Amino acid sequence: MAAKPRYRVLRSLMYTPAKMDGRPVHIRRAAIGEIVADLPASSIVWLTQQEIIEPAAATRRSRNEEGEPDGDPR
Amino acid sequence: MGTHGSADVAYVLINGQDVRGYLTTITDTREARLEETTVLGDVYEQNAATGLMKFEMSQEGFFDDATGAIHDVLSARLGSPSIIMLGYAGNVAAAPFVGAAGPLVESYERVVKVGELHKAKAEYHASGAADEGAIVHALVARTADGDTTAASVDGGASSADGAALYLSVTALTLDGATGVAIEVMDSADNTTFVNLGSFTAVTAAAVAERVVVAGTVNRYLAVAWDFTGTPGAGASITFTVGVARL
Repeated sequence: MAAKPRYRVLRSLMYTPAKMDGRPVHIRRAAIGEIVADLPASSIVWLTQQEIIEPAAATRRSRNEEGEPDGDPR
Repeated sequence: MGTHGSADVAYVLINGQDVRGYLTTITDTREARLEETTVLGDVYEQNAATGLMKFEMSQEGFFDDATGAIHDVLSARLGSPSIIMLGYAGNVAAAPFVGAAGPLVESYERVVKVGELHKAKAEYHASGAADEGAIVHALVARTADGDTTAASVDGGASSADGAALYLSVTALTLDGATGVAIEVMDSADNTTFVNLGSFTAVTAAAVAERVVVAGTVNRYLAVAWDFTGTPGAGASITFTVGVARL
């Protein structure tokens, strides 16, 4: 199964995670800087447009361009 | 929206103290300042808007000098700025409210007449903004962390010019908690909510605050609150939040 896209949170969020593996879901908070992969699919476009989230991979590339160490920042 | 009556008045909050129960009349007035521009040859008087707005408020009601009652609230605030929230059409989410930050209590009158209960009157002059918005969290008590995302307020559309966020806290029992963090959240799809603005952590009552945020305010609005520290079973906060899109 393809890996779910991951996003870095730029403004704190509150959402009901997309259902995964049939497990019960609860409202979740995500703080600034957190990497999330369970955002509701319907929210990703407007969250990205308003620069509330950004693709985690894009962040890693830009950090590399600035000469910072490679790899997952977590 | 529609007509409203005196029974619909939800609260009259002055820096977090609710004086509704003492009042019989409250009047809020907005005025656009004009300058006369009549010149020779004009048949009718001419006026032009200067762009300056003015907000005034006055209130009349019964005098009461019990602790925390109308006399306490007003006499101590002569010449002092206040944050006012007037919920004139019901204590429910989405009901309208008037908010004002900075009005100075200019005069406070105690009226004593033969055969009548004593009365109290006050007048406020603007020294700041006045806003019209919607209640997002009604004036109710909360005893545990929570949010209103399941019952958000639908503004019908997003807006682009920011918002004024109002908070009034009328009562607080910390019972082990160190404070209460309250934030306003917005959403474009009523599914994922984003922090729009946060108030200063509440550690005492009565208090009030107005926070201005810039930029896009999405269509749906909600409030979230968290007791910080280790709240006991007796922890409780009574507060209201209103949002005025600018």
